[in-house]
Amino acid sequence: MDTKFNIIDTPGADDFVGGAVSAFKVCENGILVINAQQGVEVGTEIFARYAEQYKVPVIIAVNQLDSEKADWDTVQASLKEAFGSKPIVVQFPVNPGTSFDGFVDVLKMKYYHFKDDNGTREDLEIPANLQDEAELLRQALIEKAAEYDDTLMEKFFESGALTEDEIRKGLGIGIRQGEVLPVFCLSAKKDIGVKRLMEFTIRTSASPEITKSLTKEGNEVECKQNAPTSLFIYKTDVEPHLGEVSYFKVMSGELDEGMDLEDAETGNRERISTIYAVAGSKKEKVSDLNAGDIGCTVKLRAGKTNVTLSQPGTGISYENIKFPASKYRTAIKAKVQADETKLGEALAKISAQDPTIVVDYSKELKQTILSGQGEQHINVVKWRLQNEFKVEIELFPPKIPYRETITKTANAEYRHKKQSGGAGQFGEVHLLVCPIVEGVPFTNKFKIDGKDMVLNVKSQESYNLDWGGKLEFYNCIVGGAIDARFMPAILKGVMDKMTEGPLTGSYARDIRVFVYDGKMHPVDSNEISFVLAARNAFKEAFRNAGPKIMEPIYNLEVLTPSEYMGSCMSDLQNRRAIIEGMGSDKGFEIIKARVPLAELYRYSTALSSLTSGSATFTMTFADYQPVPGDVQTKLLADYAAQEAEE
Amino acid sequence: MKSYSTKDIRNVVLLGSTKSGKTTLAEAMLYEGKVIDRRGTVESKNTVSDNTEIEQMNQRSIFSTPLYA
Repeated sequence: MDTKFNIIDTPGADDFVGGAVSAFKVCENGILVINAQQGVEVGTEIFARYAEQYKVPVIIAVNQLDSEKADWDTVQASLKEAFGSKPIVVQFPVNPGTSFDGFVDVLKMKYYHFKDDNGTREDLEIPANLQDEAELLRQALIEKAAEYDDTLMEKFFESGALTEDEIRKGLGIGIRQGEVLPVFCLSAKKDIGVKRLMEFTIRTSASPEITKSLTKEGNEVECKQNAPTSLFIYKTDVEPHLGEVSYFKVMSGELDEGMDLEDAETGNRERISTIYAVAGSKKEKVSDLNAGDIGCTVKLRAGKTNVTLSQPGTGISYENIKFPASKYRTAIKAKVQADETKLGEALAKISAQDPTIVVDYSKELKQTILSGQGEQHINVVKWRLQNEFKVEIELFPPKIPYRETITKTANAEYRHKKQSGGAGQFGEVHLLVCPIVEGVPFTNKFKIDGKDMVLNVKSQESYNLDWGGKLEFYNCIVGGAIDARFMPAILKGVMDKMTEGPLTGSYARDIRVFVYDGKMHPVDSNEISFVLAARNAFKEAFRNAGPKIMEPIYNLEVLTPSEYMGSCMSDLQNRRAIIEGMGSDKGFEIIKARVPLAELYRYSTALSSLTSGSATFTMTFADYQPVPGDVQTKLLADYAAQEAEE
Repeated sequence: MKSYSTKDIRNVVLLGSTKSGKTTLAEAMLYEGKVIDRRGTVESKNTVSDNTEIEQMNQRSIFSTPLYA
């Protein structure tokens, strides 16, 4: 062929969607394969949505027309339901089912008959009994093609017909706008229709020439040969005999063997020693690749996914691939303590190869959290750790990052005193805490120990906490009861308890602290005394201020076939979900709900078994909300038991 | 292998549900492009695309695989 046809084969399971998402970054075209036994499935729908989101136009190939249960009419109906008026038949099968051996192509107005299972094709006249159907479908195709170009439209009105090239031109425009989904016939297994599909793609679909890629600075780089060289790494792997392999697309210019390129972000220089054209594990050395082509290289020092290498001085760095958010989280540890380092290194390698695997050591939870797209995804990681990296691991439920806050005002005082022998310690702190609630105005008027008081704010500090929410700290000391130099120590004492909340040891948030009185000793007062006094005063005030545990809430969007709607809903209700909306889209039901993270452990697995794997969902962090009373009681008891154990 | 000009390149991603036949289609495309002279099957664990042990064990793709035809 005179055309290089680069294909990226992607996994079909929702759990491995990362492969498709990175492919969208380097492919101008997509082929959406539909199983003729099933019609449009949830998986089809998911990938169609992704393609739309990443602006990759697709054509539709109805595959497995040779299977016993192939049902062309059902497929057409499901296409219409899912994609409305966009699908347009270019080919229809003559005899779908086990004896499938040909189809009519209404663009070519030919009957393609296949003599064997190796793609040997005869181009025949359309059988008389199919002529009418073919004419009707051709007319529909012409009308569709004319819609997207004014001159074609004029010609169509004048003559009622368009040439093959004109149809292709019109379709091409419609396809690229995402308005036309041409439908083709296939039996990939018997090699029926494959060549014709490739021919159509080559003649109608876009070459990389039309693409303009965005850089991190928001500039557009055209995919042109006569331009400075740049390449984008979209995938990495470790392969036998080769070591680390970096897969890339040449985004502009011409890439030659031996070229020195630069990562403009880090200043790191790389020499492209060898260039390969890739067909899976089969790799062929090439001396150069032009703009738009896909290949791989080896032995880069830092050839990770999302790295741009460009001609030094050009400073080009392309936007990163935006991978979907994780949907499944688990805690992980090595079975043997001694393997922890090895596990850490292995996980780093795995997540470099698959950026939808996210590994994070949570200081807050004191757990390593492994997140991915679903349980199958995590199981692949587990398998690789045990078989490729030889580390035995344990997966267990992750802790929930709770937060603590208060609901009313309270004050407390604490005296820290140690004056027996040696250098003494003395510090006394009186403070008041009140909640920061959005929309409730600031006040410095409080009732303290039965007396109305107005606190005179001398200085204030406000912190946006790393873990969300705020801490505001007010120095309201009058008459020099505590020297200003001890204020940082008092703030530190408060902060200590903010990072290890008085209820369950979780982070505290959204609290205002007023330090309004205290005492110091001319000799014995020092920093540590005030840290301890503040810590204890804050803890006591916090406990009297209607403390609440808050939990993370996620926005959940479930996409399910309608027959499973009821079971999805009742399952969600058992997960303390608040249903926010229901709707339908392209033949599927959508449920939107707010659900506590604590109730979402293994949700992807549960949803899959509820719906025979035909539903999918997304989850994104929404906010923190107080837990119900019974949950709080249980969490407090758990924490007390854990403390007693330690 | 010769190098191709930008206008003579097509980059195509194969998408679709599990078991829709993407890997088999990729195999047939390689065959049509004369990159391979025999087509493997997912069941026989000898396709070009599913070339890792874990994919062959599961008889489905887990990683994306670039190919050309």
